[in-house]
Amino acid sequence: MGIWKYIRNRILMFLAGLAIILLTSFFAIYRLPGDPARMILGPRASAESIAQFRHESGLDEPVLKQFGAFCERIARLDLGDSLVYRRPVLALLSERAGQTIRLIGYAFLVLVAFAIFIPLGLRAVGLGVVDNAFRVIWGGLSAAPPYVLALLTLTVFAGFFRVLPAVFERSYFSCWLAAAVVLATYPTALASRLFEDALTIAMASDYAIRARAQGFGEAGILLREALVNAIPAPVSAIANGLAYFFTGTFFVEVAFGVGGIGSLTYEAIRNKDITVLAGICLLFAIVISSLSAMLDLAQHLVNPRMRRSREWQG
Amino acid sequence: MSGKVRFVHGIALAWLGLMVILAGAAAWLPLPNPIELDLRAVAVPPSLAHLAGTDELGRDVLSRLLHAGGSTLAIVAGATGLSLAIALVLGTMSGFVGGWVDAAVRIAVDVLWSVPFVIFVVLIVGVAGVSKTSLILTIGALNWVGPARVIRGEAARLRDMDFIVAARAHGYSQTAIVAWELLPNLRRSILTLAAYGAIEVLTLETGLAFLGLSLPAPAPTWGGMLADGLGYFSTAWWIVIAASAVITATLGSLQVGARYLEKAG
Repeated sequence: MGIWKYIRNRILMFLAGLAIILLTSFFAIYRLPGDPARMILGPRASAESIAQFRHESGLDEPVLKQFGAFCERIARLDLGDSLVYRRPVLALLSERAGQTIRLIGYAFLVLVAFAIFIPLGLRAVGLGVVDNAFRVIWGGLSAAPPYVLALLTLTVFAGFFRVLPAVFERSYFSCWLAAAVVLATYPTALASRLFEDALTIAMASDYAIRARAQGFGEAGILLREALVNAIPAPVSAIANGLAYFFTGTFFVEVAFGVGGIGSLTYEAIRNKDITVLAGICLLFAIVISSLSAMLDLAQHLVNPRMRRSREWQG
Repeated sequence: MSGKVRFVHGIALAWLGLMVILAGAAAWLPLPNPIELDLRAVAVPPSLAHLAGTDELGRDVLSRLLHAGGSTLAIVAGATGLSLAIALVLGTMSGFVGGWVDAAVRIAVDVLWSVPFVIFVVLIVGVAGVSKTSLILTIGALNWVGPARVIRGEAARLRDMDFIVAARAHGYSQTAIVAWELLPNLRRSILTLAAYGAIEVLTLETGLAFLGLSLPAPAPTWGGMLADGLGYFSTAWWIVIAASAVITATLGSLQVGARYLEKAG
């Protein structure tokens, strides 16, 4: 499959995904059991005000027309108002997104550092033992789900050693670091294991033996020969890790008390704030599908084997 | 079966077996009622009468853990089974039959892949009402995407193998080939996918329960016990410790099992 055809197909997929999300959010808000007008105005609203509201917000129009209007509003970036906070959903989202982006950004740095750079550095200077110890620790921690890890971290570092404030404090870097490490644990364990496996295979391969016979040192072989061949495995695990962050942040934010999108989701679920939930769904869908489209394209370009034979399975 | 069986595999298997047996038989074991309050025995530390102590309302922690385990494991088994069944049907059809079926499944997979899974589950379950059945159906119906990708790839790989070509040359029907030649060869992948699927569902269900979004009170859940116990951590630490330990040990055992199956395959 040629690269242009691949890009075209990928964009079509992206659009199809978006269409489904739009449809689902639309039906989640307007077509579910229960009258949205009743839900928005509250149980004590009079029949007249409900009729007026239905007319004003176009709820008495045919479904297709309503869907058209819904899509148009979305295109104008108008996601409606929160049923609980009585404020535009978009404003709420952009207010909260910063913290989530910051958390995921730090977690990504932790992931890349501990999955690739630190193992590589340790192995290059002959400290493979330390690297192994790190991997065992990550593996052990990754058995616990993020919310248990969060509790553990808070108990140990905030309760016992008192090096961490018990309540999440935005200006403390240590709080961010703790949350980011917890969020990054599972993908880090996975990616570092895959990298180690790939490196071990590469270091035992024919070209490594040849390089060794030519008198290159182990560190040189590692960095010049093995790295290039071993890197695709952890890179795709890191890509999956990014997708994991978007679900993981939901639990980590609530457990630590980070006020990002994850906490907003939690509040919206608790308050049955459907417009906010639909907005979050839409936001996540756009972010995740654009990310996965970009990652697919990047892998396509980076890995020569994928350029020719790549089907749709990773 | 080439994987090396080690001590850790034995422990993992023993723990999972123990969990399944004890949680499955929780209703018949001589345990205190998990939702019965006993205000004379509030927050009693672990003792012979209450092996894992009691919680802030005097309910037996061990009994609650085991009863919660029953519903959690039922949800895990049900949702994993359902998603694997869907993945198996769509994956084999897509990989083995190819053509427009393949294209349709591919599009469905790519679309569902971009959906924020947790939020969707919460949204649908929230609307449909939280129950074991709604959790199983929702998680199962949404979580087949990953396994379907793997099974589709395996089926496509096996399609042109000699033994399948031979079966085709013998004039066996497509269905017979899938049932007698393809499925036995997918057995190992399916087991591995089941283990990983169970990990995902368990993490998700316990997480939702932790946030108060799974089965409503007074039904005991592992995540719920963790969340409730947090408020009493300084006075009744054993609730949080016992719940975290059970969750972590179960997830860890599943991970050990999943990796064993993966390596053996």
